[in-house]
Amino acid sequence: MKEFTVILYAGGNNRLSTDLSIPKALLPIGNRPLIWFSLQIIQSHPSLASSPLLILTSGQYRQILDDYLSTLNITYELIVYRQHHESTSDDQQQIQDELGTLDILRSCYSRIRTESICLISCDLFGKVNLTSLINMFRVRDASLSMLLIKTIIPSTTGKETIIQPGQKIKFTTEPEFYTVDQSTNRVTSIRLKADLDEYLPLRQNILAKYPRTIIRTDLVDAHLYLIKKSCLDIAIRSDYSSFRKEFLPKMIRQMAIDQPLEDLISTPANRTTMIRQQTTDLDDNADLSRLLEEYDCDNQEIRGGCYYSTDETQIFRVKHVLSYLEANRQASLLILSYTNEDITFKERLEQIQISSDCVIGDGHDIGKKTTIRRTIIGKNCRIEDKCKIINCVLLDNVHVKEGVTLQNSIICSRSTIGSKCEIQNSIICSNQQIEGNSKLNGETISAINHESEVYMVYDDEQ
Amino acid sequence: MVKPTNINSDYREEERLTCVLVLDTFNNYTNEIVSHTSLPLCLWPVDGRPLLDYTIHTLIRSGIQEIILLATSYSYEIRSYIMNSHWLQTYPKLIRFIPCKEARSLGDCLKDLEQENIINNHFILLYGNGTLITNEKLNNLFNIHKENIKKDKNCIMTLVYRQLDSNHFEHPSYTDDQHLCIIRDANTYRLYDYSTEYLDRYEISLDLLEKPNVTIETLYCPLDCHVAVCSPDVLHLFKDNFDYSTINEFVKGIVRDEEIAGHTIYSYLYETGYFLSVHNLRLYMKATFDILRRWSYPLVPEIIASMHKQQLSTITNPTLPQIKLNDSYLSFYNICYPIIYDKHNIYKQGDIQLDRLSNIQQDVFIGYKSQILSGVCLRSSLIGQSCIIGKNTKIENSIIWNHVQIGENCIIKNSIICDNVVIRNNVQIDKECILCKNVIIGTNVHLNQHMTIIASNSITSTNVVDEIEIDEDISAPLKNVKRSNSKQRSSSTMSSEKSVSEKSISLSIEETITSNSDLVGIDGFGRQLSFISTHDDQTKPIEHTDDDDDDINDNDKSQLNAFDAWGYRIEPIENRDLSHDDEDNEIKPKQYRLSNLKKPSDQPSDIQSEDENSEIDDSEDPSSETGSINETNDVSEFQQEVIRTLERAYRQKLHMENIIVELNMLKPTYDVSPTEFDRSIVRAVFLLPFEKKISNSETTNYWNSLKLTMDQITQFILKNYMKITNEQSQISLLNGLDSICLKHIQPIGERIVNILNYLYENDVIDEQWILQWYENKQKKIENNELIIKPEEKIYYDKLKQFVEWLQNAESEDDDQDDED
Repeated sequence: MKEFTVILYAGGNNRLSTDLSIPKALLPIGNRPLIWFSLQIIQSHPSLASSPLLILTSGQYRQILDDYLSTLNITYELIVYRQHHESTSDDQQQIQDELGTLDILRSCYSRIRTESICLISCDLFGKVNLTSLINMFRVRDASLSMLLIKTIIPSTTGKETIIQPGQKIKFTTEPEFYTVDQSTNRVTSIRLKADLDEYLPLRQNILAKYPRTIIRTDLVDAHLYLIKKSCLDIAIRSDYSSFRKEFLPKMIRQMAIDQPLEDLISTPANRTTMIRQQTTDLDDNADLSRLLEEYDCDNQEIRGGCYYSTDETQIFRVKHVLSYLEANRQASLLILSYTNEDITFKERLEQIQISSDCVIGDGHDIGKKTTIRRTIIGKNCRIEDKCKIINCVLLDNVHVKEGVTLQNSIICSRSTIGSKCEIQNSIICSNQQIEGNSKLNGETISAINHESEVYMVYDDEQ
Repeated sequence: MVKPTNINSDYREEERLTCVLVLDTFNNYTNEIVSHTSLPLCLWPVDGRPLLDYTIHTLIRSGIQEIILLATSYSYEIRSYIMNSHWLQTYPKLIRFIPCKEARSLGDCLKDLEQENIINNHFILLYGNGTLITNEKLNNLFNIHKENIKKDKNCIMTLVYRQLDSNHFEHPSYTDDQHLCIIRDANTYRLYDYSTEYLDRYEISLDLLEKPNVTIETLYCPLDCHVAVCSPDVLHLFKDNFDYSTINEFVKGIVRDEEIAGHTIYSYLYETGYFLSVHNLRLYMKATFDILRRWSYPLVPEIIASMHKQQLSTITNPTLPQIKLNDSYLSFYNICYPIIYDKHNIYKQGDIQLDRLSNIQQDVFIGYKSQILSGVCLRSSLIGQSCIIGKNTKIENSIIWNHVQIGENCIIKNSIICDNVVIRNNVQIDKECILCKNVIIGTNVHLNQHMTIIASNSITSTNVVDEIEIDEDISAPLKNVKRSNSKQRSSSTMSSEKSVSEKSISLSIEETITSNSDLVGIDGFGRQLSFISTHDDQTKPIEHTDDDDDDINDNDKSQLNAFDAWGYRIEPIENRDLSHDDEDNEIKPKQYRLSNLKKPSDQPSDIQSEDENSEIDDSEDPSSETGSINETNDVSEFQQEVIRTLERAYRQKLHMENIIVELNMLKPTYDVSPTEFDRSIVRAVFLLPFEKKISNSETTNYWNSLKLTMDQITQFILKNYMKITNEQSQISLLNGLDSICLKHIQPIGERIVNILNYLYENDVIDEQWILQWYENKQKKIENNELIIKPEEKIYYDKLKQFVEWLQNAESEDDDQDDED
C-alpha cells in the first residue's frame, strides 16, 4: 500500500484571458503549462512520485487537460468534480469560486485508499525540497503538515520598480497570522485577518500549552498539505466547504486545546455515517487490521498535531499578474534545473537583438531590427520589423506589427497589435485587435469592456 | 553618542556595577507571618545561612561592586545582621544600607533611593524580595542592557526572565503570583505588552502585528527572576509618577505611554541556568531543597561555609572588635561550623548527635548540636541548630529552624517550623503549615494543611521595629559611612532595643492571652493566625486594624492581597469581600459572608422574593425574611456587585468595554444563570441611581440621576446585553423594568414615560416589543390575572399614555410613508 495519495487540484479558471478554453492549469509560463511545474514538484520527491495521482478538474476542461497530460510520461487519474449548479457559462465562474475545496474533495473521496494524502493546488511555482516536510510529517506522526512560504515582495530588477500591468488593482492579500512554536515547528493557531476586528486574541489554554510562540505575519500558505486520512474524514463529514479558511483553523484550534476533532462534525447523522464508512472501506480493502487501527474511534493520529515547514527557496503561487510575470522570468532557470533543458533562445539571427534571457516558442517569425529583452514569447508568434519588446509575456499566435514598442505588458493569445503602437504596463486579452498608433499605459483591453474587475485573481479558495 | 572606543571602555573605572536589593515582598500575608517569626524573610535560614547570604554570594560572584540594600519594616534586624556579618569585614565598601521604614511599596523604596542621589549609572534591581539565587553571572546583564540602549536609546529597563518548559504550571518554581503574559518582539526582545491578569484570552492589536520589521513573540508565564536592569531614569520616573507602586504598574505605564514619553522596555530570557527569586513561602522551601539537591552549585552549603571560614580566618581584626549581639536569632549566623557533605546530599554541620537507628534518607541538612534520636526518618528536610527530634518521628520536605523540640511519633510534612517551637508526642502536621516562634503543639494534635499557628502573646514585631526606627533614624546613614564608630552605635542600638523590649513586654501583658486549645491541644500554646479575608468566620486580627488606618494603605492591600503567603491566588470572591470591608459599612459584608456559607438553591427565585430581598438589603433588617435570603443570596449578591460595578464605572468614567468584560467575569464567579444575569443587569441599571446617591445636590430626583447614568454608561450596557433584535431579551428587559416600577412606584414608576421614551429614543428598545409587551399585559389585566392595586394605577395610566403616544407616532410615520 502506498503511503500517499497525491491530489492535484487543477480547477479554477483562467481570468487572464477571456478565452475560457484554457484552464488556469494550462496557462503557459515559459511556454509550459502551469500544471507542468506542479507535476515537477510532485515528481521531485520519490515517495510522492510513486504515489497514485488524482487530478481534479471541472468537466469543461477535462478533455483539454487530458490531451495535454497524456503527452507526459506519468500515470494519473482525472477526476471531474461535480458541478453543483448547472447554469450558463457566465455565471459558472462565480459559482465555482464558491465551491470549496472540501466540496470538491467530497466528490472524489471514495478514491482515496491511502493513509495519508498530499494535497497540492496546481498554481505552485518554483522549486521546493519537500524532504523536510515529508520527514516531519512522518517523524512527528503529524495529522497535518503544511508548507508555508515567505511572502514575496516582487523582486526589483536593477533599479526599475515593478509596475503592475493592466488596470491598477490593489492586490491586498489578506494577512494571515500563523502562531507557531519555533522550537518544534508546530502551528498552534491560524487566524485570517478577515475574521478579526482590531485584536488578535490569544487563548489562555493554548498559551499555557505553548508558552513561547511567535506570530508570523510574513508567511503565506503554499497550499501544499500532507494530511492524515483520519483528519480528512472529519473534514469531509463536517459542514464546512472551505478547507483552508474554515476547517483548517478550527482543526488546529481543536488540536491545540486537546479537544476531540469529532466536535467539528456538525450533526449526529454524520457521525453515524462515519461508522458506516468504516465498513464499506473494509470491503474494499483486504488489509483489515490496518483499517481497524486507523479507525480506532479515539484516534491518536488525529492528535498528532499540525506542523509547518518553511522553505527559503523562491517558491510562490501564481495567483495574480505580478506573480505571473515573475514566474515567467524565472521559468527558464527553473526548467533548466528540472530537466537540464535550456529553453532560452539561442539562435542568432541577423539584425535582430534578442538577449539571452528570452524564451521564444516554435514557429516564430521575427522581423529585422527588432529588439527583444527579458521576454517570453509563445508559439507561432509573428513579430514584424523594428519592434522593441522589453519585459513582456506574449502568449501563442500573437501578431505584433511593425514598429511596435511593448514594455512590461502581457499580450494574450491570438491578439494583434497594430503598427507603431506604444504599449506600456498593460494587459491585452485574447483575440483583441489593437489599432495602429495606439498608446496604452496601464490599461486592460478585453473583449467585454471593463467586464471583470479583478484580473488574474484566481480562486484563492483552497 | 557612541564613540569609537575599545572593547573595555564599557567598563570605565569609575563605573561601579551596582545592584539594588529591595528586601520586602510587600505582601501583607507574608509580612504578617514574618512578623510572628521575628526574622524578615530575607534572613530566614536556608541550609545554615540566611537567604540574603546566598544572594550576596551570587552578586559577588557576578562581579557586582556595590550592593545597596533597601529595607523596610525590618531594617533594624537586617542592619544588625549586616553589621555583624563578615561581609563588612571582608568587603568593606561593598554593602550600603538604606532604611526605608516608611515605604509601603517598591515605588516608595525607589523614591527614597532617588533622594539619596547615589545612583548615577545603570543598576540591577532585584525586587520581589530582593533574594535571588542563581548560578549565572549577572554582570552580563549590564552588557545586554547597554546593547539594547545602543540599538534604542529610549530603552530604560531590561527585564530578566528564565524560560520554563511547556508544563510550567506544574513547575515547582512557578507560583500563581508569577502569572504573566508577555508580548515582545522576537528579534529585538522589545516589550510591547505585558499583563499579569489571569484572563481567558489576551489580545494583540493588529496594528502592532502589521508593523513592518516586527515579529511578535508571546511568552506565557516565564519564570520571573524579579530582576530588572535599570537606567538611572527609572528612579526619576518612579519619583515623578506616584501611582507606580510596583514594577508591574511601572512597566504597564511605560508601555502604555510609550508614544508620549518615548521610553521603551526590553526583555531578556535566560534559557539555561538556575534562577529562583524567593518571595513567598513556597519558594522559600523550594530554595532550601534546591540548594540541598545542589541545583544551585556552586552555591551549596559546604562551599559557602568553607568560604566563610576562609574569610573569617584571613581577617585579623583587633581593631574591629566583634560586636556582641543580644539577639540570639542573629548571632548564630556568625559562628561558622564546618559542614560535612555526605553522599545522598546529606549535610552535617559540626557536632551533631545522630542515633545509629535513625534513617536519614536523602537531601537532609542537620544543624550544629542537633539530636536525632532512634527511629527518626528524615527526608528532604532542613534541621536547624540545637534541635531535638524525638523517637520514630518522620519528617519530610520540611524546614525546622533552631532550638526546636519535636516529640515522639510525629509526622511532619511540607511545613515550616520556626525557632523555639515545641511539638509534643504523636503530632501530625500536614502540608504547608507554618508554626511561628514559641508555639507549642500539644499531644495527639492533628494540624490540617495551610495552617499558620502563632504564639498569641507574641506581639507583632512590626510595631516594635517602627519604634526602633524612630529612635535610630539619625544614626542610620552615619553608620554606613563611619564604621569605626560602630561599637558606640551598637551600644546605642542595644539600649534602644532594650527599652523597646520592655515596651513590648508591657504590651504583651496588656494583650489578653488567647490560646486556641481546640487547635493546638490542652498542653499546647498558640492560635491560628487569621487574615481578614481568608477565613470567613473570624474577626480581624487586632494588629491589622492598628496598622491600616489610612486609605492609601488599604488600596495597596487590596492590590497585593491577590496572593497569599504561599503564592497561591486568593479566590476573587474573598478578594471582593475584602474590598467591601474597606469601602462599605460593616453590616453588609457580614450578610455576604453568611450567604457564602450557605448553598444557594438550584431553582431561580421569582422576581418578587428578589425584590423583597433587595429591599432588605437596603433597609438592613434581615430578621423577617431570612428564608428568601437563603434562596436568592447569590443572585442578590450578584446584583449588588453589578450595581457597584456600574457605580464605579459611572464615577470613574470607565471604558464601556472594560465594564462589559468585568460583568462577564462576574457571571461565572457568582454562578448565575443567563436569565438571572440579564435580569440583574436590568435591575442594576434602574436601581443604580435609586440606591447609590449618584446625583449631586442639584439633581436629586430619580429621573435626572437615571438620565445621567444612562447617558454615560448604562444605556450601552443595556444595548450590549439586550439586543434590539432579540425578542426574548427585549421582553425580559421590559418585564424587569415593569417589576421595578411596581416596586418603587414613587420615584420610578411615575417616571415610566420618561424612561420608556428615553430608551426608545436611544434605540435601546424597539417599539414593536413595547407594543407587543403592552398588549400581553393588557390581556392579562383583562383576564384578571393581574390585579391593579390602587397605588399602582398611576403607573398604568402613565404607561398607557406612552403606548398610545407611541401608536400614534407610528401611525403618523406610516401616514408619512404613504404620502411618500
